[in-house]
Amino acid sequence: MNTLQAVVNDFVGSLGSDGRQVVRQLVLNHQVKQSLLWYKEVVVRYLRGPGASRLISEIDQKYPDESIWKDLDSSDEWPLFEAGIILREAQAALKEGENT
Amino acid sequence: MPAMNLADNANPAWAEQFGITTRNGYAFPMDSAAQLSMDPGFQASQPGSVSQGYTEMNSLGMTAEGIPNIGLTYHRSADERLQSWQSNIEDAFVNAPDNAAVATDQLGRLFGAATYGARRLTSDTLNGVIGLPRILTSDSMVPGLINGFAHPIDSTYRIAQAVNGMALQDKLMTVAEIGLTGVRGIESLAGKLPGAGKYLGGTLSYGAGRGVVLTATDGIAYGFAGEGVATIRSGPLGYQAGSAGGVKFGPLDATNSGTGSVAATLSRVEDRFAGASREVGFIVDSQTGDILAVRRAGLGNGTQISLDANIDFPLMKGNVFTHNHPLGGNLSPGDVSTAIGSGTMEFRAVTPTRTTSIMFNNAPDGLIGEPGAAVVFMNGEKSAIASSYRASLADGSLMPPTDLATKNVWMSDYFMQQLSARNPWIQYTVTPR
Repeated sequence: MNTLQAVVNDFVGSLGSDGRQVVRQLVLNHQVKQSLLWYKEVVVRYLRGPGASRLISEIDQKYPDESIWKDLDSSDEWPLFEAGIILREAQAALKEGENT
Repeated sequence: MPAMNLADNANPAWAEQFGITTRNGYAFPMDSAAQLSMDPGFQASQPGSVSQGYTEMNSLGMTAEGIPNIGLTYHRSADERLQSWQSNIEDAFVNAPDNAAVATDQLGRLFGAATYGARRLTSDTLNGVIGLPRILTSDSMVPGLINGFAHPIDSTYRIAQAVNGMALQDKLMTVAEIGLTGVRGIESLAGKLPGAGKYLGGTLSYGAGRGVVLTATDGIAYGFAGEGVATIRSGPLGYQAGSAGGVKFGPLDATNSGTGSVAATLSRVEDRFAGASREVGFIVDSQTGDILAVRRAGLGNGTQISLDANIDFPLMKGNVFTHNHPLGGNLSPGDVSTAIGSGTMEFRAVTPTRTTSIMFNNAPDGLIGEPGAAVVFMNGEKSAIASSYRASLADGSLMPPTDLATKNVWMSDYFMQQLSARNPWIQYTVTPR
């Protein structure tokens, strides 16, 4: 069940109102300390353990042009590129929900 | 809090070579009796607890003969010492006064400045530059510590004196250690020191490139100065650590407040940290060469610094940021996002073999200093450069290395070359070291 959509839905659903506000405005740069906390949260929750490799493969296939460069900023231990994609999709979902 | 640590150095021969005489197991500064006119009522230190072979002699004090002595702390092992220092560090963090408290301290602004500076430097040094194990290995730490702690009269001068002549890293570490061990001694002696009146009645301020400046009642501004002095500021109050040219505390004027050039600062820190295994970053004032902040990757993620958008980005704006890349490689896409988003004037990455740098000239509107827009821009660039990368692979004009580590460096070079070619406003340079 670790599809990108399912993970994004689960993540968005887990956020309280404050968390939604923070994530919606998050700068998606893992070098920013305030953002890195959320990157790591996503890594720990969704990008480790069973099913993680399938999710990572799905993200690679969906965003191949960005994925090419992921090893320049990311590592196997901390797959920050994939975490950034999940956060970006979550932001989009939150903004979409706000507009409907 | 243990006064100091002489665990491996409790023999007289060792102590005397650093200007310390010993008697009955106590250590005495050789020149203290002549230099100090301390309150003779000040109590001598007393032996502390003894357990499991761990003996502690507490704190700075005065013998019955009026000779000041310094406390000795014996620890059984490096682990115990480390534990002790960690405890002190935590204590220093917890007790560090805020700026307002220091500025209005009626006890003595000089001492407030000194202790504040020492504490802040302690925090930043240990947080940003040097790992704790360094404490246990520094050759010059202990003599500097003794000198600083045993002579707490004019604390800022003594701190400067203690660090004079050491390598920068040792200076930072030593001042940090003086901060940890000597702060309370300094504070307890405030008001008891001859000649301190003009300082105690003075006003404390700070100025760009000068760190803490104390204007004494005689109207003269005092502070640190010296050739190659680097000011390390963290918040409005500052403190300074000397470099090769030495540092001294004394009257400031237009000729001695120099803080070294930007190039000198970059050369110094990059030479030292280019090959470090943990990522370390420095924000350097583009006008004065002052080091405005130091950031270090956490222990659990040694190759990645994170920067506070609220604290670090404003410091980086218009200034220079340099950091090392422990795994080699060029500036990363994340680095470029940070550089653009923070509005950094120059963003540098160093390895033992080269320095890579970007600066910006005539950037498109709405990018520089806009972290969110910078990320969106870089996402677009990643996609565009990926397209040309794939095309070049397909036509055989590109042949990436097969070894993964080598390939990553090669990829980062390719990315930066393409990025700068596509965006002439990104001025990208590579300089062999």
